[in-house]
Amino acid sequence: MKTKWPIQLLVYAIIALGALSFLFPFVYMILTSFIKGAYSLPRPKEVFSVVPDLYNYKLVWSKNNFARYFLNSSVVTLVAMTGSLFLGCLTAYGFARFTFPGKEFLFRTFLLTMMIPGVINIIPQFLIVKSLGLVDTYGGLWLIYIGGGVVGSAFFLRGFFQSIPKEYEESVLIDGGGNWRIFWNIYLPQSMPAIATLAIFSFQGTWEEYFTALVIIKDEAMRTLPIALLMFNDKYATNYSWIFAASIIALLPTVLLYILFQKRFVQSGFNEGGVKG
Amino acid sequence: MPRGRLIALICMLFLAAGCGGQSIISDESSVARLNQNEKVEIEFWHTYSDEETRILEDQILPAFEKAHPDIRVRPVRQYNNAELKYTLISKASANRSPDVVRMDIAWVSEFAQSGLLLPLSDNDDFDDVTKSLQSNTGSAGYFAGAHYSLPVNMNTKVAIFSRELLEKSGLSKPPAAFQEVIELARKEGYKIGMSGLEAWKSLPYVYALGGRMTDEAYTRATGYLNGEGTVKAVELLLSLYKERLIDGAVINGGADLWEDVKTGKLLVMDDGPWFYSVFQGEELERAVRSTVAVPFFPAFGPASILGGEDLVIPRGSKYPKQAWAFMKWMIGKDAQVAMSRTGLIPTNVEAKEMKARGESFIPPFTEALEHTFLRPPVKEWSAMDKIYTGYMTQIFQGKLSAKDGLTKAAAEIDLLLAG
Repeated sequence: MKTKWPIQLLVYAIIALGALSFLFPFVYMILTSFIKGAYSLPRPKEVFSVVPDLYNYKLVWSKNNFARYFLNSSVVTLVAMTGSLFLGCLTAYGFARFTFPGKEFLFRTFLLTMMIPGVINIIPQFLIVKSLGLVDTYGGLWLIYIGGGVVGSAFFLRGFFQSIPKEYEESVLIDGGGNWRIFWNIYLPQSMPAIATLAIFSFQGTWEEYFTALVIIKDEAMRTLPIALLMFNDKYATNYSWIFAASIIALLPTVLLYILFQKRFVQSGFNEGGVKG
Repeated sequence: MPRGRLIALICMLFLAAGCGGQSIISDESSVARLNQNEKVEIEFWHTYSDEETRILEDQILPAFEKAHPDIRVRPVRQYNNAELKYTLISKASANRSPDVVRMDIAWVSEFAQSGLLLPLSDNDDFDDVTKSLQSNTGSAGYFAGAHYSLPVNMNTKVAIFSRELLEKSGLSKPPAAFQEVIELARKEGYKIGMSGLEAWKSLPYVYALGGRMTDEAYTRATGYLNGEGTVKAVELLLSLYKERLIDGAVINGGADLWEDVKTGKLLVMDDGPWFYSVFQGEELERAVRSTVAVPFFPAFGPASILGGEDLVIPRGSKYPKQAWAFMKWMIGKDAQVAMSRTGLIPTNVEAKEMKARGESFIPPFTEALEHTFLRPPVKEWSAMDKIYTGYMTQIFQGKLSAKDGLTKAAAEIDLLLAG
């Protein structure tokens, strides 16, 4: 039965209103970033009459070591994301396809660590990193980011891996391939949608991470982007247009990653048709 | 590869890691060595802004290191928030502090009275050094017969009037007393831009109307915070709030007071020198052109609240002697003049006068800084501010009368001060 047009109109109106209400703060933020010298949050009249230019963006890029911290964050995030995804995939593969004593117990222990808020872990984590001599190094940060990321990735991917038909593996075994070949040529390509989704979570989680970075990194030159953003918040007079311009620059990599990966997000039916009958 | 060889290879890799030559000494710079170079490095934590940091690193530090070839300064810029305060407290408690810290004047008493700072007045030349500074700025760091801080820059808030509204009312300059300002606001329906109820934001108004927070020795609030003068002052502010002559933003925040006073929507507001100094060129001219700044009305004694930053040597500093040499450099005329170009007001009198001559908007601030009052320089100040703000909010929300709210606040503050 065809939906009557007034109802359709109403539904679309509600959807459009919902979308607008989500978009509005973001648009407001972008427009505010074009205002010159907004030392208190500007009024709508000012915001909507602004002429967009990149003046504030150029300015913040050269302020507060922003460019340097952007680069630092890029290095930290890319290594942490790659590391936690790779190790997460391997761990998930192990839990999904192998049987070994204490497997379920170990997996549940893994899950248990996910329930503990990160802030509680910070002291033991710091002590471990310190005893390894990794305080004030990216090595220390990567250890925590990758170590923390593996658990979540393994949990997320295990179910995904288990849904891949065993027959694929058998076909590799018949052709003389081993476990690595199965992992690399079957599991990874088949799980691309899940891995792409995880990549975004992992990227975002590390890119925006503030607290651990603040605790582990002492050297000013090695600080990451969230700390640079904080520096724009002046003690006496905060220029909100700079904060918003800097936040938007900081947001760009995540948005770009979304756009790049959006077609690969978790889809169903990805591996259908690979097995006969 | 056979499994045995693989295991052997992995074992070798692990053992090879032991050859990495990692030192068992965690901080090698602090270990004395034979034939050691005499150069020492001091760590300086500060919260200077981007522009101020540039002047510090490009001008002041190279000049200092040239004059003191045996000292190197490692500046570390920090973000100013409560986290920094707790980090400094824990570092000083564990004797692992930086050598010099530039901190908010409001934190100094808490640090000094908790035994976390080294006394500066133990240095023989302390009196000579402080002679060059504005005399009323050093009192925040005075405790039990010793001085613990060196003021490096100072500020205060002044009353900033809308030139347009003053001219409209036929006035060539702002009224001399706050009572007259209120009369003018009531007569013409002009608004007063009080920005909040925290001590830093509301005490200048309360003091200008005859209120007080504690006795002069900062030992008692009862009889002062709930004294007749303060109750009357708060009741007057409250009635202005009810008449909508003080904006609702005083409780909720969110008003654009800067723009409102420039465009003639507000008669008067309060702020520090950054009201002007963050702008350049046409925007600065506009701010100067559209406003008239005067010190907060001193009819009942000083009503200008003292703010700024002090230099301190935390407990645990490894090189207090070198730290002291650096601090003296920072309050010297050259360093102070260099830093004042960013908008900071020097504590060095000579540099301050040069600054006042150079910038048209500075004189009201330097004039106000001659007669300031201090937020009570006691260890419990942060807790006191919280109590005061909490009860002031309840009073403005209509939950408590001014008399009751201030009496309760005074009783709680007395308990703190007695402890």
